[in-house]
Amino acid sequence: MDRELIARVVLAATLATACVTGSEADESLLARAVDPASAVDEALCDVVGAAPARRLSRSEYLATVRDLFPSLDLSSLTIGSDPTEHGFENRAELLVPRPMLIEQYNTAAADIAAAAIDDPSAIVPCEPTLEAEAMCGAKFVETFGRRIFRRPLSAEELDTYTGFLNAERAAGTGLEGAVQLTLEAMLQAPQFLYRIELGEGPVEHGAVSLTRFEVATRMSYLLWGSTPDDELLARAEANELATAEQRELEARRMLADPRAARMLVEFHRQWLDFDELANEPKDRARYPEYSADLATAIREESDRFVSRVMWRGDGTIRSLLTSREAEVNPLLAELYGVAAPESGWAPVTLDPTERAGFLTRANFLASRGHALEGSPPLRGIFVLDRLLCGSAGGPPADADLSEPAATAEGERTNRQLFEERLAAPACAGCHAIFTPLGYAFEGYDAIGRHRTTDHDAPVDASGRFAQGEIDWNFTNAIELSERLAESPEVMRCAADRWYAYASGNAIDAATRCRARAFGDALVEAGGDVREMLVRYVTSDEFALRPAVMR
Amino acid sequence: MKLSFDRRRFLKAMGLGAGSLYLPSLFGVRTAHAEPPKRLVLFLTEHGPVTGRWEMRRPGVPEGGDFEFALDDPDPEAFSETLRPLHPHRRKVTIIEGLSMASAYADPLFTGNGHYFSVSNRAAAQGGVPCGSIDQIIAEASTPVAGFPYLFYSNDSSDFWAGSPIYDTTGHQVMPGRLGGYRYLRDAFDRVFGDLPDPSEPMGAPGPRELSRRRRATTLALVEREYEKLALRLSSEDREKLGRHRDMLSDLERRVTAVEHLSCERPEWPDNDLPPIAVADLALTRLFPAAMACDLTRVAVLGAKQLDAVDIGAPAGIDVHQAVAHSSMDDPSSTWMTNYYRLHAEQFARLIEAFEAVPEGDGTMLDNTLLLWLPELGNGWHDLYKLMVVMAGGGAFETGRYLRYREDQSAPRNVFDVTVGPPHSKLLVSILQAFGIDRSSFGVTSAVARDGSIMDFTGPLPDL
Repeated sequence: MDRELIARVVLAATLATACVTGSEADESLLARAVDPASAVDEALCDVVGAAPARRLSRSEYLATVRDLFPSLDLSSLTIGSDPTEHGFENRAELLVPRPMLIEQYNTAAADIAAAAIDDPSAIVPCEPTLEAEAMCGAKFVETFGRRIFRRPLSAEELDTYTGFLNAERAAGTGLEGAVQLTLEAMLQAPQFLYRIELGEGPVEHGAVSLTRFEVATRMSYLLWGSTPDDELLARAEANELATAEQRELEARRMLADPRAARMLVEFHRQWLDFDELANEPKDRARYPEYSADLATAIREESDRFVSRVMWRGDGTIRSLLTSREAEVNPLLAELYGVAAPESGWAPVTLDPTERAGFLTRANFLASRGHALEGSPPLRGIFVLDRLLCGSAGGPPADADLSEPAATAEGERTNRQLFEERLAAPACAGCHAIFTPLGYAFEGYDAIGRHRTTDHDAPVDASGRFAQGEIDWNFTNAIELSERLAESPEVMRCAADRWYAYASGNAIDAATRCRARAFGDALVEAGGDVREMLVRYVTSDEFALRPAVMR
Repeated sequence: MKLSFDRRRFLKAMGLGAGSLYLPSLFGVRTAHAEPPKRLVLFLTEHGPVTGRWEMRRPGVPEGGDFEFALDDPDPEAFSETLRPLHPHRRKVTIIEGLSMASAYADPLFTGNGHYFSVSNRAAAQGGVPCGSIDQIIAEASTPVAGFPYLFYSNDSSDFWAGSPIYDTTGHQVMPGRLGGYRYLRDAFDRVFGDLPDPSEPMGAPGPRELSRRRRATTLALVEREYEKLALRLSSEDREKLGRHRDMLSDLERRVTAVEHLSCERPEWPDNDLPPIAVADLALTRLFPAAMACDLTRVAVLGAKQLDAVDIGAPAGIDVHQAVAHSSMDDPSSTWMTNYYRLHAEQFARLIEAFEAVPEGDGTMLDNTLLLWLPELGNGWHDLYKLMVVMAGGGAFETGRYLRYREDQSAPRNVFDVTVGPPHSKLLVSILQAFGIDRSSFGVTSAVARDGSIMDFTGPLPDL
């Protein structure tokens, strides 16, 4: 496939408007990040955020079934990937049903139910004798149904599923066969595959309260990316999620659980595009050490870094962008030039003059690199798009997107090659704005090794980025990372992304107020995203949804 | 030549010699239909052929203008080196030169291949130019009772084509009949043919497949009702979303139950993890014709994976994308890219043979199936003009012809200063009309050209 066309697809969305002329580009490129208030419709600030039915995303589905059936090996389940927006896979509007997916749910439900029934004692809460079979089946529906549907079943649902189970049992499938089929059905039911918030009670200011179990489910998918555990369901049952204090207590318990680390990794995987690495093969002659094992380690380091810094560490955007902490295995230790553990993974501190946070780690550098050299435009656009929430758009349809180093003659640095390529008038207007951000990473090659020379010339990683109120000069990626870590624009952008992830909504005039509240919370929490999440969970809005207009 | 020796040996190993395309017994079922359904197969290939090495000329035909000639010369050399494998089938093919994807250039939100088959794209669709892709529209108009609206098989790892002809009219990505990736051909056969009666199961008592099918139907029926009940309590948007889910479940249930009534044998299943050429061959010559002979689908799309360097005579390990396709203006890449497209021409020839091998009515399945081969681009670079189009069979268009359209229209503004031929949307309109779908335009309808004139993308392709 032509990856360049895809890149163009991804980037094309905004350039057309942002980069029409130089001056217009200057104004619009970062308008959103520089002055978010300008686009806030204050009249909408009192409106509770939309709560559409959200199909479980692929990763939510997989985490959910893993948590429901911890003893089963579910590694062979196939669930298709979801469409993304800004890298996020859980935008409610895009999580529509698709025929292929419906089949995959169907197959997965059958596979899970078949595996689960191998050990009936794990899911059937009784020792069935023939006489008690009916009662035992009903009990299964009630207890396991509550876990699958994330709430007690209604009387009608109990009737439906118990009736189904009994009919199957009577048809000769036996209790276990009937339980298996019932489980299979429940795992395809809308109550399981969709997070549906109906709310309850009177309408006030256009909003209704979520039910206690809906609050629990909101909390678990936000903080764990998965289904509530028994303890959380018990708190809902006991009506212990009603007040801000109660929710805070529970949120802190949940954030201390390893499932919160899994969620934090998942958020950053999507936000910072950890998986792009797999799509960027490297030249074998140039990088003989770039083995499949090294690529796997580079990818895994990202998860370990996030878990270490954002879950076990101080959880701040600053640390994400500047921490020198890392976990390495022997292959990565060599790449980073640190002492290698004898085997497995070990924590290390990287050389502070060579490495800072995520942007100086091999995954970002290699995934925004070509086969031979790093790509300053792609690295620059990543910073602009992912960290500053700016938009660069894409190149014209006939732009030359090949790697300059692949056809270069003579000894020139990667930066010189790109500067020549991008000097063309059709390119220069936009690239002059964001590509300097990418030049900051010229001190690293296409697999993320640090370097001080390029083709025998000293590396030039200096640059300037000036947009709106921002005017940054930097001499390398460490300095740029510092600027980004101090930047209120980055803080606001991160909060926007967290809001979009948490709510499943797009950032637009209707949601900007609430995204702004995330930003305020993040600033108040000193950049600690876990505290920001606690503040969100304890806000009034967290337990409300708009009244349904039928 | 070593290349072809390897291929022959390889095809033999796959059981894919010319004589082993299919078990004729499979296809008896088709003759029962008085009026066979019309079908479409799209063969989509990466990059593009080498300009100057695929086109054909005849003495006396003027350069630069429109022209047409019959593909009737018995001399294989009359065919270009790229398309020569199609010479034995010259009377069954239509070759078109000179179309452009000018509408894509006019589209600021151009999304590559997605545009090719929708003359639109998802963003545009959301902005008010809704347009499904051509295969979807044809599939919707002709979905078989048992089976799939259409089959879509492509390389999964890059999922290149997955973003392509699969947008529905609301801009949502849909993938009915989307089969797993290239590595999982056996799984694709399982999915398409798995519910057909298994000859290894004894007659009489229901076998595991049969039981599993009944079980699936029972649970699906229950779940469908759950979606219906719950939807009543939701907002209109959510009701619509769950309603669609319910419809898809009911479609699955219909398929699961209807397949019982098919009297159609399963083809032999290949292994997973085969080399890319074998996968494409098996999809084109076994998966698609068998599925269509069983009436399990009437539309099938293959998004072919990029060929390997060794397949096209290039040094192992060379970057086929950058160093071959993008460099195919000059030798040796030009020759490698020509080999690349000749290999695809061989595959298209085998596709023709596979459909011709199946008797249907008074003729063969080829008579009722339009086979359409479209490279992604006009050449190995990113040009979207000088497109090569090869069609076969179908009974819709007169075959045995070579058509060249002149390239004298000013192009939309963001193309370098070239003139281009008629927009490809006209070909798609012609195809829709051939399938009985009453459309006079498809997707984007016009754009402003560099010279200020309005480019018209509507209407069928003249003289086709």
